Amino acid sequence: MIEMLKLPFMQTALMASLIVGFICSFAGVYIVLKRIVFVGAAIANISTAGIAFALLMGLNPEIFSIVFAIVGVMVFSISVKSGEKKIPAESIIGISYAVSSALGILLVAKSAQGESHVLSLIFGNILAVPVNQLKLIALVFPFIILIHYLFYKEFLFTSFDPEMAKTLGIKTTHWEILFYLTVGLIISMSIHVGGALLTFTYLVIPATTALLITDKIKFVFIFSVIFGLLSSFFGMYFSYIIDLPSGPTIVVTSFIICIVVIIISEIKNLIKK
Amino acid sequence: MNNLIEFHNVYLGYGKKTVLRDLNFSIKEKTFLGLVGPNGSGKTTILKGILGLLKPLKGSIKFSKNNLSFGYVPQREVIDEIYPLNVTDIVLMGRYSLIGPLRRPGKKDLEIVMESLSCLDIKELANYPYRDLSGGQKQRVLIARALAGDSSLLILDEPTNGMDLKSEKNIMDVVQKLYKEKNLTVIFVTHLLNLVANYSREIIILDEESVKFGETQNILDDETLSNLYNIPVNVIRHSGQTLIITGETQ
Repeated sequence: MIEMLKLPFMQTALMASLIVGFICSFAGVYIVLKRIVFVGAAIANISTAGIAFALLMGLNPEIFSIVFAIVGVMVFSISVKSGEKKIPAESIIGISYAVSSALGILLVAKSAQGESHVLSLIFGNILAVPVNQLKLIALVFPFIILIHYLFYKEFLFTSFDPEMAKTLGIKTTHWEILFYLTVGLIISMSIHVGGALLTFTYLVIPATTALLITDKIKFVFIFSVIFGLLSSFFGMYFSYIIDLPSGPTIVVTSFIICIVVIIISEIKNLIKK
Repeated sequence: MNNLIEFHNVYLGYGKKTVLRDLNFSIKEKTFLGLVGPNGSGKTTILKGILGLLKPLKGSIKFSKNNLSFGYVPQREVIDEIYPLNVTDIVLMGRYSLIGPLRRPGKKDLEIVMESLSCLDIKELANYPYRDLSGGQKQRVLIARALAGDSSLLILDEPTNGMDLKSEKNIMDVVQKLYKEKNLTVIFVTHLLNLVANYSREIIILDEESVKFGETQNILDDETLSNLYNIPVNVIRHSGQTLIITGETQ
């Protein structure tokens, strides 16, 4: 392990995966509780399509990935809330997921460099994270965490019971927009670091695992972040010693942690009975 | 008693579709009002209009106080039990608008939460996960949350839905006790006529054609109800209780 930590590129990759693992598994608690898991997947792909569009037009890919992600998040927040009767929200999310995936590839199909860029964003290559990228997320993510800390009760209430919150004079639409802005930023910036697959994994598996073991919401956040960090650390470690791609190894590690937690909680339940 | 809420030629609906037309009535302070009608008659629509969740398509809803705060008790089914919240977490939400952004709930807020739980006789459930409670207990938690917001107006949407007779009576008795002890105004929506007949002082009966409003004793009669539901309905009063039954009586 010490050998792994001596390598500069592994240090950067480990740091990047820990930061992304932390922030995504934190935001993932809301994503899972609000039942918008596939919004996370769709946003990841829309953000990737934004990068492809920017590459095609010779524009800044980072800015466009964020812009696309935020626009996508806003559209989903409205469509999920409005509850359109003829077209279920799941269909809108599913269509966006499929079309944005295809667009991302089509937009750069004629550019060999662009295509490899987009494919690397979908599948991720955390070992090749530029230090500048790492610095950027290290700067922005604490700010997002601060927003979530300061407005925890507003985000929780508007997620849990928006109608009641509205009757008490809480500006639910404003809080929802702020919430989705932070989620859009988290997803679009995480994709640059770890790719869409890894980002989606961090958004879903740690929070789901945490929900299996506690009935207290504050502990769900804490456990989710712990599982996200453990997945990052051990995923990177296993990928190093077995010589496997880092992103998929982190995904599988996260899943193994989930399975272990399920087994332990089932055993505990049996003992209780 | 003063009017707390006044409906002036109000039209309510969703999008371009009008559900209720030309509503004109007023709700007095300190009344116990039952809002009743067949399924799809617009009971919840009126409630949403009062709560400000639905803006009138035409007309106006006026409140006697500018910052009237609502103690809203939604249907239990709208509460998503995937959230790992305990009873205190949920009741505390009733205080959030009073606490305001950037501030954490303090000792006083927790004391008020405990007082609200005591009023509903569920103080011992304070640390229980909400999702593990029975239907009746959940309903009490939601009423406690409404009380925690220091509101003098309690609005309940189908508070006894899906409950057995005993739980139904317990919940309505608790609401009536709060109404008397805390001097509240209570508005409750239900499709259960017997509840309205025995608990509410005033009643609004909705149907597709009209809105009837008045004192419960005066307005609930065989003819009104038979016309409303298009089946024979009998109102029987005995020993201070009212019983509403359907079908021909011999």
